[in-house]
Amino acid sequence: MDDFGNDALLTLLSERHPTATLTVPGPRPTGHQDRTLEVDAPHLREVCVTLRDEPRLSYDYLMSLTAVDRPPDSIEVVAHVFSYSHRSMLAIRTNLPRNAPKVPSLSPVWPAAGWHEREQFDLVGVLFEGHPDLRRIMMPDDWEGHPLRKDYVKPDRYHGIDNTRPKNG
Amino acid sequence: MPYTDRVDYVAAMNCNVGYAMTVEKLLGLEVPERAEFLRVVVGELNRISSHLVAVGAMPMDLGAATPFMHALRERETINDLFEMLCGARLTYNYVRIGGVSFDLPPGFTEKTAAFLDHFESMMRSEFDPLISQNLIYRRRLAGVAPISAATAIAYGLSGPNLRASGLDWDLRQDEPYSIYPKLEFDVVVGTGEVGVLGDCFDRYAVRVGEMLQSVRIVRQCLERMPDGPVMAKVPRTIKPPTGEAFVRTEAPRGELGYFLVADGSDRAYRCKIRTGSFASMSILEALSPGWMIADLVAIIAAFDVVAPEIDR
Repeated sequence: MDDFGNDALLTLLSERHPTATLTVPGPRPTGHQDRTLEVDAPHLREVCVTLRDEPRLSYDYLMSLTAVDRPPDSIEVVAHVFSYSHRSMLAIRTNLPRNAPKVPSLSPVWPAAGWHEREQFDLVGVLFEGHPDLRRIMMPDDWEGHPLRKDYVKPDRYHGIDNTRPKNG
Repeated sequence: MPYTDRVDYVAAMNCNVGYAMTVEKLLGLEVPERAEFLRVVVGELNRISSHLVAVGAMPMDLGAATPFMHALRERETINDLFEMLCGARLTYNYVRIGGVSFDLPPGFTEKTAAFLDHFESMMRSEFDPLISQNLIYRRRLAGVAPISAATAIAYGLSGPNLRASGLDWDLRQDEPYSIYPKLEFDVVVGTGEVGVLGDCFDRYAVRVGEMLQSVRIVRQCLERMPDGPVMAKVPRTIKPPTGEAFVRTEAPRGELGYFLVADGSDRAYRCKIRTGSFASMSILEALSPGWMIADLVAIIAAFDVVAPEIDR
């Protein structure tokens, strides 16, 4: 929404959540970046509740939720939300330590997050705390590792089944 | 690009377009106008063929096999058209970053126009009386598993499944991209005409209505198609600068969103695809308790989910 710019957004959220670390990164010098809000992990859920419930924001629709592995130190969780009433889109980004990627689940805020979080837990290994049913959703339940980690090594066999492609044939 | 064909193999053109648009946003690349027209033509034809699978498979799932044959017969013609255009009948790999791969072949416009005329009258004289007005079919869907607009939004339903709940929202009009602002068409929303607003019949009816709107769109595009190149000038190896972009388009099964993280190389650092079917399936657990198993078949059929779009 044009009349509710980045500064106004930051001011409003900082007043409501004085202990949270919030930033709106400026445009990237290199390539494109969507409008983004950065939140520290412990405050993520309460900030998101404000984003959803404050009438001037009303981000009621969670479009997507992704985790991006950034070795060696961090994993980013990026949620894309949209407000139907204000026609405004926002990316919410949280940086997590790669050795203990824990973040409050957003499923209680937006039910749509439920399956996205299961997917990112499965593929990237982020733990969404307070998720009602955090199970793998793509890979088998007994799979080891998280395939979209950058240092993931694909196993050759799964329960005795060969995973490798035969050469020249 | 060929990988995106597999995101939703029933509507591969729309998946191609979404990915191309995301990379183009990262590159800041303009697409020639004729290519935009061609993208809309193939996108809307693909929407018709995709919805045909949906409205044909729905009665089949409920026990009536014949309508599926009628729907697939019509879809065959669209497959023929796409084969003329790009050589493929299912996974088209037609769209390119910066445009499309081929211009229209001779005879395509005439053949498409003839199909649209035939299709429109077929829908009115054959498909509607046979299926939409079918008493058993209507009773199997009417009032089953209604979803309110607020619930639909909370679970991230989009596209026809959202509009069936009565929300007038279509990215082609409300967040317009490509040449959609130049085109005239109506957004079809659910009305609860035979049951309750947002029930399975509404989800069916929205798709039937949308096919006829797509006919209008394709006609307008063919009439106004400008001359010119179909590809922008792009290097052989495309390396988007470091950045990230989220682009969503109106695909037949709802909003198709690509979140692409670029690191300056010729490969995506991370690509997440947000699809309509994934959201539709995620609401099932909350939606289905209390309904009969037979209704569950109707519910899943009416969401028009396609398996690869769920697991991508």
